[in-house]
Amino acid sequence: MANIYLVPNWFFSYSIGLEIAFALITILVASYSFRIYNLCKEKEYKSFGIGFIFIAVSYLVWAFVNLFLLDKISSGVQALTLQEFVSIGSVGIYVYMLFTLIGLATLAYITLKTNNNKIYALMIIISIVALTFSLNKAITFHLLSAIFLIFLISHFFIHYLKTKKHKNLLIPIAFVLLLASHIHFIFAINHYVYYVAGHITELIAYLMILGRLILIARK
Amino acid sequence: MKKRNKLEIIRDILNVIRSRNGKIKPTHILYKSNLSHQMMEEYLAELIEKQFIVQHKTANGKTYSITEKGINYLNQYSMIMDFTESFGLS
Repeated sequence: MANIYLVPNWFFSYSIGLEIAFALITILVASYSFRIYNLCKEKEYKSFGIGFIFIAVSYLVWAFVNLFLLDKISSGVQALTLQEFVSIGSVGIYVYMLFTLIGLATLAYITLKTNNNKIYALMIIISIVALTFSLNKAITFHLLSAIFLIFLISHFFIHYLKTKKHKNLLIPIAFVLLLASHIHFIFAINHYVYYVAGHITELIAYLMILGRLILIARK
Repeated sequence: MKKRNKLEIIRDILNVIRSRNGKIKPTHILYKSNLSHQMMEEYLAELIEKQFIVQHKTANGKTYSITEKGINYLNQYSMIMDFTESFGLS
């Protein structure tokens, strides 16, 4: 796998902390969704929760791979060859991409309001095949994520226009910021500033989602 | 008049059953829930499957009563709706 991101040394530990924070927030969304599934037994809440669990696992994988690499760097990479070091990083990032895409595809499938598992399978298979056989996995991953996110954003905005409740704007705006973070990560292949910017944009997005969850919890 | 979604219809049916403080006949549910007969039957079957209500068969016909799960749904309804509307579900 070619260069994926340029990461500044000083930001490495911060990025691990942020990825764990993103995982915790997405787990919180999933747990809310599962709680509602237990209350009303509607399948879409279960699927919605599963979608967010995939995204949470992807962040955890990313964080643990970075943690592992950081540990090896700080100990002078004595136990690993450079090739092993790169391989572990590449596999970790690939798993992160795969889980994120499955998560986003699951969320996008729910917005279709259809109960056709073949469509879901098709969305997942196309995403996995496109990512696996792509020469530039990073660009393919961000483009596929952007497509799913644009789909989700349009769904959230249409829903907002139907309800006209301003508090419901937080989620579509958060997803617009998630889309912006993916655009930043595309440029992070060439410059580390975009890696930092991508994380900060993502942090604002997840804080907005967390804020909305806190408002829901007060009900 | 705004079209009710599924969660709202379930809330309305459960509220009608709860308001009777026990058992209610299907004709009352039909009258209060503002649904067609077929729709009401489908919803009642679903609510029984989800264990939100219980069907009782008596000499005078069928009656329904709400369960703990159904009451729990009504108590948490505003939180469910808030989450649902925020993420564009249902």
